[in-house]
Amino acid sequence: MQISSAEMISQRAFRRLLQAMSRPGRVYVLPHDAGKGPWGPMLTLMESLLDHEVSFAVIGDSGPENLQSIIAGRTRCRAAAPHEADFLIVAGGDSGGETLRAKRGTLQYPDTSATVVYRVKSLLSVEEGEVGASLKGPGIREEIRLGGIRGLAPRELGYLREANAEFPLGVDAVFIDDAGRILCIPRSTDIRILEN
Amino acid sequence: MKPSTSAAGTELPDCIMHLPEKAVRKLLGLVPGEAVTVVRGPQTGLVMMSAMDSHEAEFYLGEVLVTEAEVDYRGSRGYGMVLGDDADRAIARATVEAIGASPDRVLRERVRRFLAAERRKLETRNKRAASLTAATRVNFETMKRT
Amino acid sequence: MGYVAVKGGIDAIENACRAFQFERMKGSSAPLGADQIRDQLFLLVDRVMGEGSLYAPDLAALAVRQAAGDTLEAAFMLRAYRTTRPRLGYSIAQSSDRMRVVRRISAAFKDIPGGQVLGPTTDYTLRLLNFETAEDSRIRKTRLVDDILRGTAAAEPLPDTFPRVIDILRRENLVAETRRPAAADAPFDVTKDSLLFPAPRSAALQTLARGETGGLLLLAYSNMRGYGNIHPTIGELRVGYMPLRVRHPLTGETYTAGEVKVTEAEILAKFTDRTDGPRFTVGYGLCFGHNEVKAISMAILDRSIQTQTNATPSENGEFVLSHVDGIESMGFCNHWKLPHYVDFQSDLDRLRRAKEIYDAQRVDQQKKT
Repeated sequence: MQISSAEMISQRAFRRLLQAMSRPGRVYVLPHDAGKGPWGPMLTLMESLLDHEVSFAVIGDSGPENLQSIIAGRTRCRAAAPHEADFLIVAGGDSGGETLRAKRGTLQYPDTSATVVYRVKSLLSVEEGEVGASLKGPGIREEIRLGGIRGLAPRELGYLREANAEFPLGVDAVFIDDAGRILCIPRSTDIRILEN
Repeated sequence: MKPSTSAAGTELPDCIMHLPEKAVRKLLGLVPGEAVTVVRGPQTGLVMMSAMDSHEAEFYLGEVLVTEAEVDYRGSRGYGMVLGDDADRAIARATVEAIGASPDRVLRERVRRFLAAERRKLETRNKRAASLTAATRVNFETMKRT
Repeated sequence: MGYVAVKGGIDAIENACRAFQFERMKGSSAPLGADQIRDQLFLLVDRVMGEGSLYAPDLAALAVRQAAGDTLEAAFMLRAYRTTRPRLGYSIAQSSDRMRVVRRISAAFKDIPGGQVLGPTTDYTLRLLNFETAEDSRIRKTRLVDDILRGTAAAEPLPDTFPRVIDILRRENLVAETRRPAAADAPFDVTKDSLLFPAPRSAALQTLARGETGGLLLLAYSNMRGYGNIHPTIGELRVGYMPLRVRHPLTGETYTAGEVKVTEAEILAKFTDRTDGPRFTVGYGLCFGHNEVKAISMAILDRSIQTQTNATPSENGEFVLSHVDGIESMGFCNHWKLPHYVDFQSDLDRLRRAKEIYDAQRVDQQKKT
């Protein structure tokens, strides 16, 4: 049996995502052999998360490419309505409020909720840029001041805060930029928006 | 796209499932290598086999190891899935399907003739085994009381 | 339960693995090819595929060779292998109507539509060891095959499909229908969700299909002997090849990937349905490969679990379904070999103390008398 390089890339990308999800608010970089180009890193992430057992929805403008059919073709994942999808792909960093309507799970099965993946322009590390939010909670020592996320619509963090108001119900968020940087905010993280 | 799929399993390309290994390699040799691009796979995976009992209640019988591949032949797509770990056979099925959907009449005919000859050989082999099975059909005489 | 992690002994462990390989290879016999096992010990391969729940004859043969014939170990290896492969999808659900039959018998009726086809079976052999074939050579093997094929009289070819025997009874309204789950419900998948009891029938059938042949036989046998109430008649037993059909990913049409060998058994048991009057109930068994004992046992257990009386072990769904998986049972049995030093030390301390007290009491009693 051969382990293909595609499988290795997928596994390493998934491992990196797990690290990012368990250390919220910190920037990680997908393995260097993740796809390059405008959708490369996003598609690598999709290939490690999506298959025919789950569903996804693309929200927002993905430009000239039909992102939905590219993802469906690569992963055999089926498209669903945003409020039913297991994975919400916010192509332009602006969910238009769909994040509020995404599945939040049930008390008995909180894991039947959605994961929201935001494609943003750039994930600056915490030291650079303006401070947009303060994050506290499991996986964070005391507090993380989240730098500005370029390409993320200003109301999105507020939507996440609202969607996650009744832990363990809620959604988990992944932010990814075109350089393959990722940052995660699971529902267990307390988000406090900081006004400048 | 018009791939030659079949519900009854009697279409000519379906015989690729049963060809001996040498014939699979010969089949692949009929096609100019540069014209075929492998788009996906070949990769092994599992298909969960779903069965129905006598009351049409569905249940999962177990997983079957398969190999799948998708190829492109001069712009036409083909897909192949076969049982077991058999990359060549999966690619062969996909390639024949892609050729069948392409406008290349010459190659289509060459492949068709090859498969027809192979299928005749398979049928001869199968007929002998099938008649052995048929010879085991019984008509029991129930023992009469005397 | 307190397990203690132990360190050390790496060298001993590596040597133990090597020692096992040595046991297998040390004899003067020719090395065994996995293809030989696949072709010539095909019932062994079929059994291991069924219990490992992975239809892959080449891999099963390899596992049998590597495990030196230990079927539980071989099935375990298949289960382990299967975790490394992605699940590409699900086949289109189908019944055995599409089976390419090689064996098909009924004990309930003599004349059945399509006929009784004995197929390849040892049912009628005398179970006498055949010493003539103690040394099988390639020439002898080829000659034997040719002789068999040549000696076969031309017989009327078998039909493409065989109607179900129980349909004969169905037409007379003599068969109780199993409660069918809502069409929208997907079958339960024990590879994904834990079994809860009472288990849905799809979960029971899947668990039985993955079950270890000996365990299934034991429970079914207990029922047959009277620890239970099923007096089965084999309505139909089939061995053959079912097509594996999937949806073509590009066109959506049905696509046949190959054929899978299976054994199917339907048993008929009497049962009085209080609302409808007396009816036969059907027990159903289906498993990978040619394994009649397993399919028949499965069918009997399917029926006995449905009685839901829990009066005997084979009628208790939780009892049956919790104990038939070979990997689970052999795993638990083998786990006793793990170090239980701390547990046992505490048992030993307790026992010694209890013995002290006991001995002291006896001395006291002797003093009194």
